[in-house]
Amino acid sequence: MTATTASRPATILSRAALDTWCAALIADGRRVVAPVAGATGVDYQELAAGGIPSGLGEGLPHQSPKATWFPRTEPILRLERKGQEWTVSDPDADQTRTVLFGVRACDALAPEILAPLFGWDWHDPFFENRRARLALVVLGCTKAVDEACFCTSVGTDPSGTGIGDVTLTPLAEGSFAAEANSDEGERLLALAGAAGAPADPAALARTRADARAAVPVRFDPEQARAGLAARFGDKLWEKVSRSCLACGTCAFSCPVCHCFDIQEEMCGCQGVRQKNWDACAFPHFTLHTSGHNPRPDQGTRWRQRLNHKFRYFPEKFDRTLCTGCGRCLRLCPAGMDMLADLQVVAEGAQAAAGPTVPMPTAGPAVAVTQAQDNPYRPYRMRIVQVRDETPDVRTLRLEFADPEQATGFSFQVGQFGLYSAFGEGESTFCIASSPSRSGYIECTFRQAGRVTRALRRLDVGDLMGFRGPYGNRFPVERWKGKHLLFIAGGIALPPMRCVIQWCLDHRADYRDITIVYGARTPRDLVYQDELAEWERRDDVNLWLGIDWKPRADGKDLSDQAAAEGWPAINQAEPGATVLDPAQRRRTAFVPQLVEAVKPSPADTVAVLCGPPVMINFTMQVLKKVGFAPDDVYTTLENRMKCGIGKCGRCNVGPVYVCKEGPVFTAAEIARLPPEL
Amino acid sequence: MTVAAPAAADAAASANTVFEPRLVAFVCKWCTYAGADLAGTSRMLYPPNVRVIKLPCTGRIDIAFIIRAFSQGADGVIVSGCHPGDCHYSAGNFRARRRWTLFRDLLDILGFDLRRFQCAWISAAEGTKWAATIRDFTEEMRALGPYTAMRQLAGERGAPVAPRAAVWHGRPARREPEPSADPATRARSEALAGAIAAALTDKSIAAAVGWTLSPTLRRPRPLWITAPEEADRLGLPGDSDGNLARLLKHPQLTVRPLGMVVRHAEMQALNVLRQESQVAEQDVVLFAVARDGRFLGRLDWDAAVAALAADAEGRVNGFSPEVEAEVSRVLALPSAERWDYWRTQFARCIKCYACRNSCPMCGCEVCLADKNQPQWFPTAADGPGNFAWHVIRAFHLAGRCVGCGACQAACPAGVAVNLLGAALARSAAGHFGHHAGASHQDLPLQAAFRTDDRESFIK
Repeated sequence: MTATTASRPATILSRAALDTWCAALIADGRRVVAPVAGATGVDYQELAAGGIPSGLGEGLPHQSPKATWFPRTEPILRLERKGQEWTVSDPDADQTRTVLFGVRACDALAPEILAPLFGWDWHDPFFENRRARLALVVLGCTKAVDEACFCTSVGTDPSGTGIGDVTLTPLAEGSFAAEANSDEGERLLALAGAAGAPADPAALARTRADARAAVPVRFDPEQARAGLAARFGDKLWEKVSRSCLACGTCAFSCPVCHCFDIQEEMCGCQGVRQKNWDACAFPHFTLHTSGHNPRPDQGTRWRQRLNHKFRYFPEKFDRTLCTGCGRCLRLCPAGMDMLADLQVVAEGAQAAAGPTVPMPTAGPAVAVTQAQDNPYRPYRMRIVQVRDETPDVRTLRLEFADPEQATGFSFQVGQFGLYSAFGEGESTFCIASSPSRSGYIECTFRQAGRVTRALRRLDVGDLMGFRGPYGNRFPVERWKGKHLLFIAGGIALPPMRCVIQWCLDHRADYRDITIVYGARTPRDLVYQDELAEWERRDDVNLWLGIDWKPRADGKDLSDQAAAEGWPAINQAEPGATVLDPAQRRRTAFVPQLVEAVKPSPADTVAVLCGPPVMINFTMQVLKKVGFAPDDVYTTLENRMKCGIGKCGRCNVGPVYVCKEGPVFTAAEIARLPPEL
Repeated sequence: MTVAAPAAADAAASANTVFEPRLVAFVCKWCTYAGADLAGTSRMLYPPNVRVIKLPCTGRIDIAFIIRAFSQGADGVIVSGCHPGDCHYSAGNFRARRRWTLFRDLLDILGFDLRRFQCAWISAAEGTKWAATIRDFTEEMRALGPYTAMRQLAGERGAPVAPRAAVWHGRPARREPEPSADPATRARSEALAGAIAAALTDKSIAAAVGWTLSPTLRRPRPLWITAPEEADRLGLPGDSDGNLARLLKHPQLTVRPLGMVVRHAEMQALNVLRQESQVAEQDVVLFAVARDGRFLGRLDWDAAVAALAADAEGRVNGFSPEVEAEVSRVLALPSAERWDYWRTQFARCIKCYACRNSCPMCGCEVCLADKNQPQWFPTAADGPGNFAWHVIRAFHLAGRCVGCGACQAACPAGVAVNLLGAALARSAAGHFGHHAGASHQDLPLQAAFRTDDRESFIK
């Protein structure tokens, strides 16, 4: 849709001429999707040969035409199994040229709003292909459909002036003024047959101005943005969401809601991996496999919907993620009212000048190189080694099954990837090996869900998928000449192993390296061989802790633990414990052990990873001993599906954890909404 | 069984003249599986077309298995187990018999070819019956040829069917009267709010669910409150199609007893939930409102049922006359046209799950559709995915759906979601004399059984 320099004046077409025009478009080999009137309303439908857009001008179709550029189910990968071997291939690109005919301005704007997201740095070829083949013939509104219309509040021009490729403006006498907005629009108009009489520009401008005036402005999006930030922790959200049924109606009917899930299905030996629409209202949307849910109730989910549309997205892409069509109000089975809630938060709010949360930058971004057209296509990896770390944690070492792919591949410290068990799905793990140990990558995972279960069934020689590397990295070069303190709990050592290995491989660059690592029991400590090696090194201070929680029968096992070489520390006052450097295995929760180790904050960077409760208490300890939040780093693990900033699942505040993360400082996290 | 294989098999069928059907048998391990073993060890010949899947009991044969078998390319499915009275778990096959009766009806409603789904009782001693049954079934399926209807659906995997014309839209455009507009309405509304406020004040209820109007469109919207001073926000339900009994499942609304504004639809739903022990009498305090908007007072359970019974007039099994008329029309269609009707309907589905989430009966903590170990439902909103969703949901509601129409009103895509419920309600009434929600004393249809339940289709 390139704008024309000198557009023709608008020409007048009769209603019958529009039907003829549709027929000509179909005859030209295009798929025409247009409003069609049914028994009880209007829907966007594909016109069969001879079909007419019978719902033209009859209000707003029930559903948005979103599926035209973003189908509710779209294959992104084809899988085929032959014995133990798998091949992956891209689905055929849709070659259909589609004309959305008689589309309303609020629907027509959607692809344009979404384009920056789908082409942000990673390009989504599926969306871009469909958009490139999509032409829009926009039908201007002359009045609001009902009170739910609020397009003018979010900057949508209901008259459709300049939107899409052709703008149709209904004229009083039942005819339409057609104006091309682009070269493609000129080509489309040429198919409309004999050029009609030119429309009177002054009258046209008046009609359009009347249309704009007919839809009252209900709130100021800038005020709404500020109000959403100011009232983030308000009780309002719990109250207004009480009637929400947690269905996906609002998101699925929205022309610009674009969050999606990635699922795969096998039928015999052939399978398909596909994007399915997903919605932030679903409880499963952010649910971690561990059971932790960063947005545990409907209030936080509804708040996310409004914040994402009117605060986070505008701060990131400079566009409001809403066109004001009002479908979420009309179609909600529970009468949820986004417009009223926005009016409440916007009222009296002082519009903020800049972003409401500064964008985190502590973890340096890694330049994106999209090696293949389809960013969702994984590399096929051959498992070359399987190591059981604990009874339920396993490490796989992977090499490229197609060696030529290995040559262009590199990653940096702290990046992550999506690992797939073909036929089951993908899981997100940090790359557990260091880039300084090249030729392979490793992943370590605990068996928890469908994918990790399937990965556990794989053996040496089997194929699995990997795509990445994704996300930012640890700023290891900024840490040069500093002391390093690594703190990890349980299964959180693997995400830190990469950076620990890197620093040990560049040992001269750093001063003291202290590692504090804890798990529930000695059996749950991962990387036992490496721990033993680190324990032996005199340039690494390793402290290991185990929980030995009292058993269900109340019996304290700390004596047994001490007998096995894990003496307890003074749990009441960990800071008062004097640790014997010869006794580096202790019974203590990680935060207590850190306090007992008494790290000096001077010239020290702390890197922290673990379950939320451990992070929480360890942060308090680090604060107590004097660490500045800017010197404490962590790597976040949110629920992710795409890994490339499209699917919306890992969005927290202005951040897509998969893009601006996973590496953040404690100071940055403190500024983000508490939804981690 | 691959995606490509059906096509290959079709090609083979035309090229080689003999079509070999793929059959799946779900059998109980005690009787039929042992019977099949006996057939084998006795050297009885029967065609190798059948894949036998052994389960502990016919009661374990989830209909999701059967749907999955068909959508993965089976030409016929047979289910079989111990004769009635012989179940090794006492009653698994009696329950299975009820389910098969309903499921068969459901398939018929859908326009499914019923010859492709067969049921049999085959004991461990009946090796000959097993061999003969499989021989006959294979012959019949061979004669019928590949099941193209399901394969066509399977071919729509990964690509949603372009929706065709809307047949049925559940949400009529209508406006509710402002509560303050008409003095009579206002008085009723205030009486209701007053009674609820009094109950909250004397702490006979911990919270109350009722209706308010959404700010912008002035449409009825469920609201729950915990303080008497909030009661003035409550109004009359009007003719809202929602069902407040749904809010018993609200994760944040756990306090009891719960005051609830009930109409006939809510009362029916509460009856079913009480049958299933999902709600106890003392959990809810009922504030009954008649269809014409009269506030009937704070009533105990039986009084509320009686007071609201008049509102059922003109409804069949709880369903409105318009729904019943549409069901009659659809059921009168030839089966191929019925199949096409439902395919068109399901093609509209966008899988937003508004039907489930608005339904007072859909209360599983984790829905089968959200479970992925194993993944019984295809997740996609495509041919097989939508088919599985609607069929399994309808079946899970058979004998439970009270016809309130909440799902229909909720559906943003205009799928005729409650027609399947209405059609199955006819089955439940016809075969078992069961009317969902008629009384809280009835036994749940699918959890109960009678040893003399009648059927005529099990071989």
